[in-house]
Amino acid sequence: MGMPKPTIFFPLLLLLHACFWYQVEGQVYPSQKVTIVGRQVSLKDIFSQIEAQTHYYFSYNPAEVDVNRTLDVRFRKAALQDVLNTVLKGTYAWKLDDRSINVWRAPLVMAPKPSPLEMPDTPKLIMGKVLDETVIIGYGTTTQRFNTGNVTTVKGNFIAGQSGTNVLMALQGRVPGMLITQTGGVPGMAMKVQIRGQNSLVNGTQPLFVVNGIPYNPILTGGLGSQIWGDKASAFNFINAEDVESIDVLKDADATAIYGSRGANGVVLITTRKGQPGKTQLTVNVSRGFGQTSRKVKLLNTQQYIAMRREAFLNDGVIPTERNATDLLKWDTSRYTDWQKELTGGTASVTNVQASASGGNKSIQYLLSGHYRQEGTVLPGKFGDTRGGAYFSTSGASANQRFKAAFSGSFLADKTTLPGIDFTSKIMLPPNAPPAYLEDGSLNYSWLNPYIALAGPLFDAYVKNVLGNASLQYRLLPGLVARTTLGYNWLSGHSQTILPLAMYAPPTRDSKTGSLHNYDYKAISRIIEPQLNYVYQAGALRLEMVLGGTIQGYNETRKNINGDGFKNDLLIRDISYADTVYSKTEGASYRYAALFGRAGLNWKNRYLLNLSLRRDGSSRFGPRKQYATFAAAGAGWIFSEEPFMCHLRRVLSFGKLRLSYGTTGNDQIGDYQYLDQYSNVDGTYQGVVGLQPSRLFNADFAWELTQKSEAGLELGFLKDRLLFTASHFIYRSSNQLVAYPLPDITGAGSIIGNLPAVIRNAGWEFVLTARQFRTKTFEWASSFNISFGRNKLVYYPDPTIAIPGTSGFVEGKPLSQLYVATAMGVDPATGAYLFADANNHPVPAEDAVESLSVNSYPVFFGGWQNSLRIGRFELEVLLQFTKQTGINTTFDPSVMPGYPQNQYAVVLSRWQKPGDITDRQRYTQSPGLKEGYKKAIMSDLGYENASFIRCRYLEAAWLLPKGMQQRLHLHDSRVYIQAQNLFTLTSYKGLDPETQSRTAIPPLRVLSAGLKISL
Amino acid sequence: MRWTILLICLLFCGGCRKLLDPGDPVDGGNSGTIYQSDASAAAVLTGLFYNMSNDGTFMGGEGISYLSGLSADEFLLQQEDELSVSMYKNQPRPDNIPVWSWLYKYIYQANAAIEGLTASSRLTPAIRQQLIGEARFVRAFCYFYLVNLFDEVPLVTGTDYKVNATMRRTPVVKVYELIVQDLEAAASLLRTDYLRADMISITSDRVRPNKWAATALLARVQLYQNNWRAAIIAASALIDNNAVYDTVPLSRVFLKDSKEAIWQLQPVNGTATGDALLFIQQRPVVAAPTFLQTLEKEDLRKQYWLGEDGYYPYKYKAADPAAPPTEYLMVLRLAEQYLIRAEARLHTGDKAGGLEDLMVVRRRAGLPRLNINGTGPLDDAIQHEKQVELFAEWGHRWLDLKRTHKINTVMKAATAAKGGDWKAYQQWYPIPRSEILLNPNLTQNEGYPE
Repeated sequence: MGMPKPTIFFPLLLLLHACFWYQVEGQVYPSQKVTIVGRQVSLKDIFSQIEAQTHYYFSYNPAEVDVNRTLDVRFRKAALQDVLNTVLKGTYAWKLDDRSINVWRAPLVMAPKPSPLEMPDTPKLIMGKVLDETVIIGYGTTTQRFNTGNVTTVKGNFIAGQSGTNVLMALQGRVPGMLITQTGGVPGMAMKVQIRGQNSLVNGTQPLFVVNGIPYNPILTGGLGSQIWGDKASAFNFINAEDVESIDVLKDADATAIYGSRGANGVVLITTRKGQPGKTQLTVNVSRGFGQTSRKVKLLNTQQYIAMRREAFLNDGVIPTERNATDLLKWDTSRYTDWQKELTGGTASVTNVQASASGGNKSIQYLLSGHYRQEGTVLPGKFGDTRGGAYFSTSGASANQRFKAAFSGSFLADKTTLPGIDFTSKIMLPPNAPPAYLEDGSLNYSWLNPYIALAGPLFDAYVKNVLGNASLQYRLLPGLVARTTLGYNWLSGHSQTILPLAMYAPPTRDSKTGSLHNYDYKAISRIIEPQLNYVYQAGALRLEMVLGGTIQGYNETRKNINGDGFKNDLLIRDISYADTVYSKTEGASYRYAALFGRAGLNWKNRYLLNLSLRRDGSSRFGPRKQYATFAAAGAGWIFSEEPFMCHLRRVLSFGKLRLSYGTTGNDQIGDYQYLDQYSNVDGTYQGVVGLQPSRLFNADFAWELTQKSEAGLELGFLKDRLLFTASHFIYRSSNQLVAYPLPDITGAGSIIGNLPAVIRNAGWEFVLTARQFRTKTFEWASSFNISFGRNKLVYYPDPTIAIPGTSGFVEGKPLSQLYVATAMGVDPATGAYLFADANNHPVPAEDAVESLSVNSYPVFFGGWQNSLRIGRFELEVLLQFTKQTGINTTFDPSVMPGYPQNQYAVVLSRWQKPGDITDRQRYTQSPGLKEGYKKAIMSDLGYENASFIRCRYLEAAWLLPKGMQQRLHLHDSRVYIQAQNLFTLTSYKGLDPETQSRTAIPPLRVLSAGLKISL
Repeated sequence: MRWTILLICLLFCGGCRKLLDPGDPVDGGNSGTIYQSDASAAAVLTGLFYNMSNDGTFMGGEGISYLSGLSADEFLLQQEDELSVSMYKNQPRPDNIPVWSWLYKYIYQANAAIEGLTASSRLTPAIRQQLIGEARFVRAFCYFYLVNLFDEVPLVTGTDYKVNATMRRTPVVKVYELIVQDLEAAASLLRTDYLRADMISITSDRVRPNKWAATALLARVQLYQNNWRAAIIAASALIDNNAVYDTVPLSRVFLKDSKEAIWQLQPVNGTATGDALLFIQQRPVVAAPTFLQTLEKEDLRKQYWLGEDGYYPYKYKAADPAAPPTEYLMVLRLAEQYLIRAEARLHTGDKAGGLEDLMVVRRRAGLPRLNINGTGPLDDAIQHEKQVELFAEWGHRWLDLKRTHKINTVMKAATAAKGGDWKAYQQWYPIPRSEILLNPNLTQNEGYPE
């Protein structure tokens, strides 16, 4: 049953249509329609049939054009241009010259570019996108159809809306295998990113981030000294999400081996927008919204709190005195303050303005954009984050298209003001605590009033981020292009933390002094990558090759200058008024050089083979081990193109099987580990700060290696309306870099060395994408992904040798697995916790055995995304879900119920009198039960189900009516409302199942409304 | 194109090394840079003295004075922590023996300094010479205690961890050879003055070793090897240097400007010495009853150097870490030199000279002239004087018992009194278990579990 070839060509046609766009653009289209039907018709015959049906004639060089080539055609009243594009396919180009259709051998087509003329008013699928859209891979592009590796692309349409201030947020729930965890709801806080599990025993496992070809350090090391940001503040806070065109996440060996020593944990490529030829477009997007803490916890009210305190004293047989029970005897026991509402219940306003202009013609394109964003916090006081920036991108080409140049640059300035502490840690204050302000409006210093934090410490930071990159390319010969890309990133920050005298009660200020902490940060990353690209096509064989080199450098300095002894708060920001000044400078420096190459073979569009190789040199390793080679092979078989699959094609429109295997490395161990470094001792001797050797010279440690193997099956059903992808991966990571203990006679406790431990990460990832309906007024597309991962320490050499940071690892078990005690409720007689011993008998904490395993790594996680359009109404919903066990934060790790600190309301079920059967110990205000309480936290009670389903993002938009848009010369203009973290379904009892923290603000629920206008 | 290829070729053939050179770190230097300037080279030795004063193996609850005092018959233990009890009952545990790792850390630091300083050509010669002298002195000092506490020990003299990590134990004689070499070299390299950390200006603080410190330690080392004449020469050099060194009244011996001091360590955690904090504040021990019994009735040291309420070690009196500094930790002092010379003179037949030296120490303690003539009794008197004079200082008692082969007789009774059971092997501390685990060439001392 012969399937007419042109229908098979349909997807290819689309692709070619896109490729040829630049060539046919600007020329007059032949308007006639032709009908040609036949099997194995020669090109010559097709030409003559066209000549017969139209008034055009063909002219070509017979030596160049093989007119005897035959093919099956079925065109009925088809536009001539489509017919020509189809039958000439990739091999030939054509041009209309008056009545002559000139045909010549086409210059080889580079990777296809997305069509600039896509229907602007239809929702685009963000993931599992159509098979032939561009996918960006290392040093090149491909399409999902022909890709032999595993790459997930997230397109820009919803990146900005979903990400808020941090562009990585846009990936949450959208990329299978990628686990992104927020640590809190204040802009700039650290983001934990892990792709496909923990590949390293003790070292970093963050992926390599590349922004427009520039490796980008995701961490603002030291967080400019802010306690809230923490040591690992996210540097992605300083990239404007609106300027991002796409984010591609590379996972398997085939995709990442070209990044060699840095590819083991995956690679995230971020590409910014570029101008497109066509009419000048002006877009303005304004939105305003409000953020609030998304979840609250139920705490004791004053009545319950006072009862708890009294019961605690009663239980302990202690008489409350003014000294040990200030809250009961000195404070008003009827007063009630909801500290949660007071300290974290505020509203953060969010204002966002973006404007961009773009346009250009065939030889030059440009895009300019500017943005401003202001975001408050839910904390009391005027804190927040204000940023603004500009971005531009230009690209141009010589008239003959042989030379091309592109340049883009962005600048972002950010000002953040934050309190010294996260007020969330203060919501557990006694609910009957005295008022924060006295009647005269002044701060109440008579107790540890959290509002004193509004006086100090105060943190404010100024961060500037400059990214620039240029790309020059020249076509040397048909198919051979020389290219060089250059990139530069300059991220600098300056912060001041002040501890003014205002923090102290006025009468005590004479004996106090103020302090200032200045923090300067500078990171510079630069890269040059010369490349040669070669494309060769002969018949059904297509060969693409890339050969290139990388020279990269990264420098970071962190300078702390602290001043003490300020006598006047007005002068506290000027270090010259300090009594004593002390400083510390730290830094990092990294050099990297590599040669890389890749060859991709495509035969008959059915058989794909991709080989990549990289020789890497890194300054992180000692002179003897600086170089290593990484390689990978990927193969694909598009079996749906095989003749024997013909009869299934109505149902199975696409089928591909892919396999890849290769090695990648990990070098996240910090710089200078090989040097016999000296560092300052902690104090002075004879008034001088001495030096001591801090490390031994060590030239013999090398990369951690990860061998990745992957098999994937990709299926398209019903003309690719339904796409299904299943991937199975097995990673084996060895050569683990650890601080290997040395005998003390060497003078050092340890040395970095490669431990032959083996970690195995294996998992399944499934993606189902559907474009179920598509009519003129109704459209629904949906994409679902889910990932399962398992981690196992396959081999661990000698558990008797204590390697720092590796305690608790058990061969054959996941790295994230802990062994905890089994709680057996509280002793009905005494109200103290009991735990199981080896024979499962209830015993006190000292005799408990820790044999119960708890694994905090998610069992599975994923996301479900829906795009819906009804008429002029659009809806985009993203649900994110995770099944996991998390920390039970209802246990305060430092304070037991009964102490003068509020508690979660769950403590109400405590033991009260002999005979009570419960799982909460009795109230107490003395340390007698401390051991049992600590053990309870380290038992199964300390963990709970932290699974959740969260509505990460929702956007509802109404497109302005066509007539109105036309009258106002608008297009693609809309009003919309957006919601981030709209709701979370979970049984988790703490503040947030994602952050699992008692002391950090949970991710905010932000609702905003906006207007987007395009001219 | 041509240029690109050329560029790549250039980059990868010519400049690889340079491409991967990240420069020097901004925080601290490395062996390549540190020894290029006088100030940073001197800071390495200053850091070494800081560590000695800070780490707690030379003073305080894990210090040699305390631990060896517990092992010997000096103390009556008043507390029950595991380390103190195990040392006290002469059952030291291979998994909890602190001194070893610190001493080897200092030896590494000294070895690294000797290597770096020797290789450097950019330092002021006088400073370089002084620093090498200090490093060799420290190395000798550490090996002296290692070999006397642990018997045979690996003799590490380089910095290559691959060589060092698999070293075997070296015969005691060889270790002493190095100690003597180092001290003789140090005595000739070091200046006679006490220097500040800039290694140029002179100070009255005696907190960096000088030529006399090296000579004083050499006198002790020669005594330990029964090289009586060499010991006499070295000790005499100190004793005869009357302008710098002299005995001072009992109450002033341990002060920071004490003329008796040959080498002291400046306290770096607060202004009080670790021993003052330990013996006065924490007060884990009092003098052993047997020790109190041997004290002569009129001995002033009981009044000056033992606490009033309970006879705890009270040589150091300044236990307020925030007060202005008055005391430094005494490492080497002149009284020991007199006792060294007394013993050495006795063994060379000069009984009168020996007695005269002994009397210098006795006289200060308010004790009368001894009427002893026999060599044996005089030797006993000298050892007893040493026991009393150097009580709770630097394990002198423990080391002398071993050196004079009296340990088994004395400890048999003493350990029984402490509630333990003496075995001859217990005179050597066990090699830390982790060391044997990580270095298969290292053997455990006899009697201890592997």
